[in-house]
Formats: sequence, C-alpha cells, structure tokens
Amino acid sequence: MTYLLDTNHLAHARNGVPSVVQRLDALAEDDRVVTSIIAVAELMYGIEYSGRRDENLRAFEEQLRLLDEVVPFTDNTARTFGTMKGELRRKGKLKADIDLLIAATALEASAVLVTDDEALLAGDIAGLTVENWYSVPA
Amino acid sequence: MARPEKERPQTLDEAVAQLKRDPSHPVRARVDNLDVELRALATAEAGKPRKLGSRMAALGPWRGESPDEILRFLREARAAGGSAEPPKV
Repeated sequence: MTYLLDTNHLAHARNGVPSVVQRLDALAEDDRVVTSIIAVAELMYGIEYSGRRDENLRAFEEQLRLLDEVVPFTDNTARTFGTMKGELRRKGKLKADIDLLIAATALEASAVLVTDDEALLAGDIAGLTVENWYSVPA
Repeated sequence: MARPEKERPQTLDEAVAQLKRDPSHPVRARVDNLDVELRALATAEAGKPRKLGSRMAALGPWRGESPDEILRFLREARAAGGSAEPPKV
C-alpha cells in the first residue's frame, strides 16, 4: 500500500503527535510513504514564514529524504485535477484548489491520502481513499 | 516484460523513483545515450521495521512557532487559495 502524507500529517509527524508516529511506525515493510510536490510547496511557504527558517528548512529536507518519493505534478495530474474540479463543480461543491491538487497527486500515485483536512475527508472525490491518522494528543 | 524504448526512464532520478516503486525488479534507463541498469541490493536494513514515525519525530518539532500556530498558518494559507466562482463565459 502507498500512503501519501498531506501537509498537515508531515507536520504532525515532525511534531511527534503520538497517533501519527505510531501509525507510521506500524506500517508494513513493503508499504510506501510518499508526499505530494504540492505539500512540499505549502511547507516551503510555511518555512519562509517561520522565525527560524534555516533550522526548519534543514529538518524538512531530512524529512523528505525519509520518504519513498515526492510525487510530481505531471501532465496526467493536471488532467485529473481539471476533471475532478469540473465534476465537483457540477455537484455544486467548491474546494480549495490546493486540496484538489493534492488529491490529484494521490490518485496519480494510486495512494491512500492521509490528511485531517475536512474538505478532503468529505468522501466526495471519486476514486480517492482517505484516512485521518491524527487524534488530539491527550 | 521489458518496457518499450520510449517508456524507459530518461534520467537517473526517474529510474530511482521507478526502482523504489518496485525494488524487486531492476530498472533499465537510457540516460544521455547511455544504457544503464539499476537494481536494489539487499542490505542489513532489509526486513527491519523502518519506524518511520519515530525517525521523523526524532528530527524534532517545528521550531520558532508552536505546532498549533504553524498548522493554523498552513490551513489559512490553503483556504486563501480556494476556488472562487468561475468567470462567466
């Protein structure tokens, strides 16, 4: 199984949130853990915002090296994004473009999207499997 | 089955990514007119749990801002890039 970590779960893992750390630790040997290039863009923005930019950048680069892949945005991903957004629009549903870009990369990678973003957990994106590993630390 | 020539990775990065997806099969690539083959070697790490969560947590928490603060910032930044009503055509 391939799991694509959304931006929030990359942050949760760094922050040592027990429910996320335990779930990652329990993955099978042949499970793959990836993220989306879109999540990288979001976190790079967060790093630029940070008061301790350089330290966070170094740690983030280390975190990326632990992953099996950063899923790129390809021609196919672009087409998936457009189709998905159009289908949702016809149903009267609007979501943030970044949500849909991340969902499109998860579909491209045939991955389970791991997120606590409510818009992505709504279950209304065709073909997308979503899990939330985050629970508020006690 | 061998991949058609045009589907072979054209860069080492692409070849490594393909190998990571399926380490059990070597990957042939054509890089700068050079035919290369990449294969994963068995290592002492093979078979050991990766403990990926613990390794990420060991990098230490986000610095400079609290976890709540950085997550709120990222959430708000994502929402600010949200879809507007499409233009009339």
